[in-house]
Amino acid sequence: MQSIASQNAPGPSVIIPHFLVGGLVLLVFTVLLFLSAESLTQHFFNPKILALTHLLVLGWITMIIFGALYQLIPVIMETKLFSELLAKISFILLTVGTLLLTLSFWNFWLGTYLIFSGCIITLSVLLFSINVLFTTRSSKIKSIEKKFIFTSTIWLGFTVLMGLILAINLSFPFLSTPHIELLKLHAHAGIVGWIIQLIIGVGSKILPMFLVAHGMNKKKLVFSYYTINSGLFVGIFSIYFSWHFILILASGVVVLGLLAFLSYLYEAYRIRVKKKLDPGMKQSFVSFFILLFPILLVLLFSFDPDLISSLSIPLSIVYGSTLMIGFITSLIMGQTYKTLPFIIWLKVYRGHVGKIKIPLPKELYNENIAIAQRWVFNSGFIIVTGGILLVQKDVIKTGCLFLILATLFYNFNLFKIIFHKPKTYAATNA
Amino acid sequence: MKIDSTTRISVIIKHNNEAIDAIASINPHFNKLRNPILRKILAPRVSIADAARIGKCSVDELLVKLEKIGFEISSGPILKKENGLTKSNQLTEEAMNSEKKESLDVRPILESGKDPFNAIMEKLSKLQPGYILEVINSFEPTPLIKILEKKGYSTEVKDQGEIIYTYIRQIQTKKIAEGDQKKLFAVSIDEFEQEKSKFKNKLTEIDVRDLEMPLPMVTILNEIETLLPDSALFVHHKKIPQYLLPELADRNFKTWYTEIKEGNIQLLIHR
Repeated sequence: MQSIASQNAPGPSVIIPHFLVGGLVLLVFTVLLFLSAESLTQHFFNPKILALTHLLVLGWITMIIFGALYQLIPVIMETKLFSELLAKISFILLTVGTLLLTLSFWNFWLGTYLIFSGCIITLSVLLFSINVLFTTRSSKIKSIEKKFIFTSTIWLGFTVLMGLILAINLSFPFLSTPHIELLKLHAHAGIVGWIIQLIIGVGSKILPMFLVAHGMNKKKLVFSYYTINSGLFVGIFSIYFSWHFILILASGVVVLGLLAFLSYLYEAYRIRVKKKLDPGMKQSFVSFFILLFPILLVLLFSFDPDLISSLSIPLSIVYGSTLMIGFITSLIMGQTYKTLPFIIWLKVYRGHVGKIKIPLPKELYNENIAIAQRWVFNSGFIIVTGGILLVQKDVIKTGCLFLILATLFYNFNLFKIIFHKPKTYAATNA
Repeated sequence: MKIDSTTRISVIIKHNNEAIDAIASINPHFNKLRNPILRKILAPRVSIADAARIGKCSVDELLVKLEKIGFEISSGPILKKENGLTKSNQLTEEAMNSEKKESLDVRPILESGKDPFNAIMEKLSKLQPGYILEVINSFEPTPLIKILEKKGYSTEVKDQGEIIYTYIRQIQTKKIAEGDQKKLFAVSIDEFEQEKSKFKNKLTEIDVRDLEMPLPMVTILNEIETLLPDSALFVHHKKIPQYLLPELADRNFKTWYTEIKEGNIQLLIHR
């Protein structure tokens, strides 16, 4: 194997652990969801939902995003990652912090445990942000994708700090705004400012690339960037100070930004050169379709804020679950098939490409299992959503079984990819 | 103490302070050794052989002076008169004839007793691609040249007696291929066409813009495996291929690339 010192991408030992832990956390999450299905029929402010949400958002979503970003940032910004060591420490802190935080919420241990685990996660995020900040600084590329990634990191920092403040406020109340309102603020900064904004930044770069779509109109992205961030910024203040009317406006502005991005994606889809979509891309597009539902719900909520507290507690749960399971989880599962095989393929076959006949990245996983995973997952998601709306615990449990099966399929392929052993055919023109 | 042409000046001075006067007495070029700041900059980075070249005297002259104040001359490595730093004059000629040149006179900085290294590096970092930096100095900046060559710059020195011109140009985007010197060239469209014209009848053209990754990389690497030694591969690509470039350098191919416009990059790959 030749030296890879000249590669911008960090060593696989930085990235792969994120995918391993992320996949296992998702499996644990679906099992716990099955065990605590009835919490989905209650108000969202309950220990089980808090534990599950944080496990999913930190241990699965953020975990995979961190791992994928360490690979993608050097490519997008055309520079080396600032520090591999910081990335490794951040990974360990995130894993430990998430497990502790989940345990604390699950058992509702307020005070020391909750605040301590919050501190560990804050530290992990701080190290990640330093890494992104310095990598961004050393890059001469000026692109809207870079802005999205950079700004999403700032929102991640804000979300985590806000979370730490909430953990303290929950144990020793000191803020006058109702805790539930602060929770909404924390959740939206995290979901929209961090996760969705990052998905837009990375997605607008890699999705057209996977579709082989040329000459995309980046103005839509610029519009999306400014509307989402200004809307979210104003929205956060409106929640804090209970400015109802301004909150409606702000939500509308954010929604416009999201629609601009979806329209950008649709354009890429229409003009794509590669007509046949593989399982990973199919699942990704289903997830963007699902995103339309929480968008509708958020408009509904902002026009009538009493909807959540009076009639429609299930709707608020559906809002969260369509966003985090239907949209984000599904998208990450789909995109795993596009990014991880390539990372492993490069690690295993680098130096041999063109010299001997080797498999392509998509041959590193079992395609039938990937297809089965998509169908089982989508069915499970529909059943769980139905169960939440009908307030039927057993329906939710049934849906969860589907989700567990889908996650088992996903983990099967994940391990198959990661532990791929070099496969060489007869030498051709070596 | 035993010394030879590769011994660093700093080691010699550390061993015996009189060496400063001994060397400086050879000719006025060595007077800067008396300036403590310049000494600090230069001495650790310069060997006797380098010093001879900078000071325009022979290595023997230096060794003889040092022998007088008690150093032993070892029969050590046989010294070469030239180490090849100033052989070509392509850069110099280009700098003379081109508009794409910026100048930096570091003599005032040196006179004020400061190290011009940072000023030069700052100027270089702001230099536009394809531009040449002309550093005006009173001696050959050997330490600077060594550092720059490691960082992927090509340099050339033009000696005009009292004034020494050093021409510096980045020969590659160092972010992509540190250490893969002279294998990667980010060039202008004109320079690219010029390079391409050298392979008139021996050019294989492929377009990988409509292929899904990693097929562009696989296709290109497949092609170069069957490429004849004196021919080149001409590629239309969508982007500057981040994973491919180091791979090509590892396989000892030279790659020239230029951006026609966004989403349209041309590469020329040859041995």
